[in-house]
Amino acid sequence: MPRIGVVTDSTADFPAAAHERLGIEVVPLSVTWDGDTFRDKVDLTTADFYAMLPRRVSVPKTSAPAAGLFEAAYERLLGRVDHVISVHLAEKLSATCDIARGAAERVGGGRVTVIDSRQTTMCLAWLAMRAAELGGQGAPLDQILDEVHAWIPRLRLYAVLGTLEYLKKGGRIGRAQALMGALLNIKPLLAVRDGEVHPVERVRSSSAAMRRLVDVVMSQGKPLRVGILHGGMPEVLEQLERLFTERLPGQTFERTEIGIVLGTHAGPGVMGAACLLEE
Amino acid sequence: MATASPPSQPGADRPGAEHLESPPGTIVTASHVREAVQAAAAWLELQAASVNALNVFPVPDGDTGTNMSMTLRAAAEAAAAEPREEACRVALAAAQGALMGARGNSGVILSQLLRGFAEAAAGKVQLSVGDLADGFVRAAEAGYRSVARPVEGTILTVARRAARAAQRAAPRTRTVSKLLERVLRAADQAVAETTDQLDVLRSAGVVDAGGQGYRLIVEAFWRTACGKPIEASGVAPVASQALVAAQHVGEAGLGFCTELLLRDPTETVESIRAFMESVGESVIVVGDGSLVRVHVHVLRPGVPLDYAAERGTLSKIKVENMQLQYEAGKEAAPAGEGISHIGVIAVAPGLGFESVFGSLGAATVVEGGQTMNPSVQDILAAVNRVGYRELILLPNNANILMAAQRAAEQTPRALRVVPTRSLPQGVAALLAFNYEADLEINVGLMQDAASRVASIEVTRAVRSAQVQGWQVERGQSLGLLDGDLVAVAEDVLGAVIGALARCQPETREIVTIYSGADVPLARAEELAESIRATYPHVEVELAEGGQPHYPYILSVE
Repeated sequence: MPRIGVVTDSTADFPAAAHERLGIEVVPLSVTWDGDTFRDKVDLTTADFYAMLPRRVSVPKTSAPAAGLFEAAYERLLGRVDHVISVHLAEKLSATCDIARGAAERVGGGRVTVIDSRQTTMCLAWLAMRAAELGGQGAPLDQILDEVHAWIPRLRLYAVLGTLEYLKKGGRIGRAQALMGALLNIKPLLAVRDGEVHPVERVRSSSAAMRRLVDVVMSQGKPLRVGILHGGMPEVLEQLERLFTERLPGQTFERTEIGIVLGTHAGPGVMGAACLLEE
Repeated sequence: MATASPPSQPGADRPGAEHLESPPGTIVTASHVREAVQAAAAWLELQAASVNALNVFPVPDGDTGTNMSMTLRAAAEAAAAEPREEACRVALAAAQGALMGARGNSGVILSQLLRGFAEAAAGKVQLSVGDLADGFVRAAEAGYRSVARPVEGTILTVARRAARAAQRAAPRTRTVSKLLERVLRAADQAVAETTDQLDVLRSAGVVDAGGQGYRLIVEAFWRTACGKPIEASGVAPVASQALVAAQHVGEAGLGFCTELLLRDPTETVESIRAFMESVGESVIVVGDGSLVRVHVHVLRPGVPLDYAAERGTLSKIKVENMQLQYEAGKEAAPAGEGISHIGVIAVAPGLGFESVFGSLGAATVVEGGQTMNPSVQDILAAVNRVGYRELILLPNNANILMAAQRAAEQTPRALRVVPTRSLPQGVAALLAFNYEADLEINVGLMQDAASRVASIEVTRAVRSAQVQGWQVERGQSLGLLDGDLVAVAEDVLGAVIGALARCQPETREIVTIYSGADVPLARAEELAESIRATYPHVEVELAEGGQPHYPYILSVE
């Protein structure tokens, strides 16, 4: 029975600390801000991060993990497993995947498979969790890889931002630029799909934001799993869950908090929903 | 009196000495001239927006349609004021009026066309078909003379080709309406071909705006001669042209568009023109011994102004920074294009609303609103000037719904109307646009969003009246909630607060105040503060609407 190790990066936002339960190795990206460097989810909590945002003038910069972090993680894991699956933040949004691939080539000896999730946050977390679960059940490597790849197109991620400013400052706005506008009270509703940020629509109030978030997710098809996420404002989870429950009675909702690297781009006031659609 | 009777039809339309017995429709009298110029002014006014829309040059110094229409308006007024019943006198009055009222490049060239026409009419009590043709020829010649370096593919080309058609057709044509029909056909053709004559038009895929203006004038003449009405008829004009007045082409530096009127100049028109050409570009110098109009693009506007001030009495100075206009134009470029195949067209008055709609991704904005309803043509022109496979139209006013529907019926393109009855509804609808959804779903989303917004409009009573159970005194402020009168107050603030109280403010989250054209920012901020104080749970946002007549429009969501 092959032993499988799973590595991901800190933009994977796990529900209920699932990475710890499943033994998933998380390599942190980092945020550099006014000369300070904070490792995502290690040195600074999301709550502290959002508290600092208004007090600092400059814009934080995010950076992919150093290659050495991946090499160390792979070397450590390869000492006790047969193969490592390393699944990461969309390649179109970050250099993380590239760096992981380089490290895999140098130290992997053909035993590390790097996967571009074309996703992030909870969707990325689900992929890592699935790989780890299947690995734990003793599934063969090929089957695990096939299943992870098969899940990718079934994942949906939607988020409502408090403002588009941070996405713009961070250079990740892409096509969502279309949602910018003259009015201030505009909350953009975005989709992450195929590794890119896509504009969906605009909403003007928090209640409309939640309502539309639920509508848009529900319009995608029948969800097997539903995740709800927030950045530094846990109170929205209750309301989001209530709205989702009206549409999906009996469903359990996985909750998570967005880390500081994604938070740097999403800005304060972000909330979102992820789902895995039925086959 | 000159005649141009066709030899093949002796006596049939010989105006000459027997003009009083001329068959109907074969001569042009003084009152015909008045009527025709009046009609042309009205027709261009109706179409001004669609002509304006053709401006592809980054810095049109004024909008061609508006400029030509204003110029014709001045011509029509002068013609109406000329009491003598001689065609030549009325034509001359129109030409002089046009020169006095000329706005922009296109207006100046137009005034010269009228001047050429008046020269051809000189001494004539009535004009025959041949005289009319002569008038077109002399007009075109005067047009070419007025421009330092004539460029083909502009109003000049259209005027020349129209003139040639008139000249050729006159000997074989009996009636004025028939001649004008020929001229119109030639103008049509010439306008369509301007696209390929100028690179800037070709790259924009449009025709020349000035040429289109000329065509519309001929069309108005023809309509008058045939007794056809001058009103929005639902027939789309040759859509899309570009104002690139000849002189703009190939121009590098933007600088200042400088216009001035010089009375009793001490120099000749020729020497003034020579000076202007030595200091600037896009030079137009026209006029006579007593009045000269100068248009020039220069880097330092002081140079032509100083020169003119020393050589006569300066009046009517206009200086505009074209670089700033250019940059403003660039910033206003719509953001959404290419993301969705569905384009949204909004009708809105005022620069503020125009930029709100533009910044929210509207493909284009048709100018119009409460007291200035756009015509079906205006809307169709907007439809024709944008790309997109499918279109959604937001009329944003109850009075525009029908024109919007007509436009949707008349265009071959997939155009759906979301019947927004107010500007707040329009903004809400546009905000609800979903980039991932198809046309039908978007129409539904936008209708739904529009229906969730309460619109408050505040204006002043223009007269005393009994309205919807309210006794309203002239000058009082009226608060309308979704079109119904719900508050009457002595001041604007009272009307806003009164109307707001009527739309369940405790259940609302966002109030957006759009301030009108005449409202100082400080007053609008006071209003915002007062709403925040009264309803602390509501987010209040202030935006410049720039709408006329309504000091405030509020969106309550």
